[in-house]
Amino acid sequence: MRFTDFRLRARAFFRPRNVERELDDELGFHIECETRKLLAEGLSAAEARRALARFGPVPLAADQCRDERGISFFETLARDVSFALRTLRRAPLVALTVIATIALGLGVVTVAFTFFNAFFFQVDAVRNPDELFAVERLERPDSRSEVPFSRSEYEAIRRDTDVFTDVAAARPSFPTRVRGTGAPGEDIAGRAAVAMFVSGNFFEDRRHARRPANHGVHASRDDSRHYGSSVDCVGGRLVAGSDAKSYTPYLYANKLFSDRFRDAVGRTWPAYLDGTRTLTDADRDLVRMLSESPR
Amino acid sequence: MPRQTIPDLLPGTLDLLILRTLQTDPMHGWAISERIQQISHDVLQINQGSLYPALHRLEHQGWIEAEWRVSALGRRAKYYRLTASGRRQLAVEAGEWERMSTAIDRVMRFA
Repeated sequence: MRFTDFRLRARAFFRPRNVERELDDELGFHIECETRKLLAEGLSAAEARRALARFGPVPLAADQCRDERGISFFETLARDVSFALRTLRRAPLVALTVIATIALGLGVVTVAFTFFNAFFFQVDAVRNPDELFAVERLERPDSRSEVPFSRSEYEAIRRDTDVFTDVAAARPSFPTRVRGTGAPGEDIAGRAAVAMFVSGNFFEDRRHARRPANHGVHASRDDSRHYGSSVDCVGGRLVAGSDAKSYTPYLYANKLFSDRFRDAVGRTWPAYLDGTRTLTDADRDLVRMLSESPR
Repeated sequence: MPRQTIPDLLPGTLDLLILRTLQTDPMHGWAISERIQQISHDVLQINQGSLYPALHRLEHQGWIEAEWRVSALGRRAKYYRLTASGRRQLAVEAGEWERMSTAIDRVMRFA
């Protein structure tokens, strides 16, 4: 907003009588000039009035000028408030009864909505939770032991798969520090992150970490309240095809892990993900670093 | 000669005509409408329902500024004059108009 615009609006709001008087004077001057001109051209007073009517009603022009000030909302509000205060002063008992009735009604509606929202309207915070998966390779089809993917395998999955819209790497037993949505180009794997997911807004409730297969995703508002907004990932679980590959959900809320632990993982696990250290060595490095670092 | 009001002519043209009319001297609203009517040989006639909202809009945009003076009739009148930013805006709008009218003219001649 320009300063001139602001100044004119402020003047119209704080000195409305002056501005209105000036508008009346301006339009009145126009009418006077036009009337003089028509009379000078030889028209009678009645003809001059008819001719002037062709130019439109003056109140309409005044209204259009007021609209150009851009403060009609505030003017209306000020008038309404003023009217309400006058009414309150004139009949306080009636006014207070009306206010109390409206307040009570709003309270009842709020309670009713809260109830219906909690029991009927609540929806999952995740848009498509059934489309989020963590990929897990099992030792045997009937086993629950996981065999981690190597960095090169992860990259091959990421490069070749057309099943997921995006893929990110992580290690289930280590903290994840993932930001963003896993969009291409985001450096997620370099943070020794875990699991595979397509969004960073979901999580699994760790209270239910030992659930059976084919369980659903926990992404309700209740879970959001439990973990706050700083959650990282989650997935679903399914058994795909005859080779019984398993897709298991994982979730890592940052607040579950201390900065000290995250720091240790960040220092030790990139070596494993790079392939320069074995899984066992990386685990050993991590344990040693944790034991040496101050609590 | 048939008379044509500005809003029926081309949207946005009124602002350009007002700015151009104020380029030389400050004028009050009625004088502006008279000036446009005279120069256009009565083809363009601006009613006050179009003129004054446009003047107030231009004033809010900072392209013109107003001052109250005593007119030749001995009555107070609101005189408008072009500001520096109004002159720049006039140059822009005049250039646009020139380009558009030239293009339309070419189509009318050669299409």
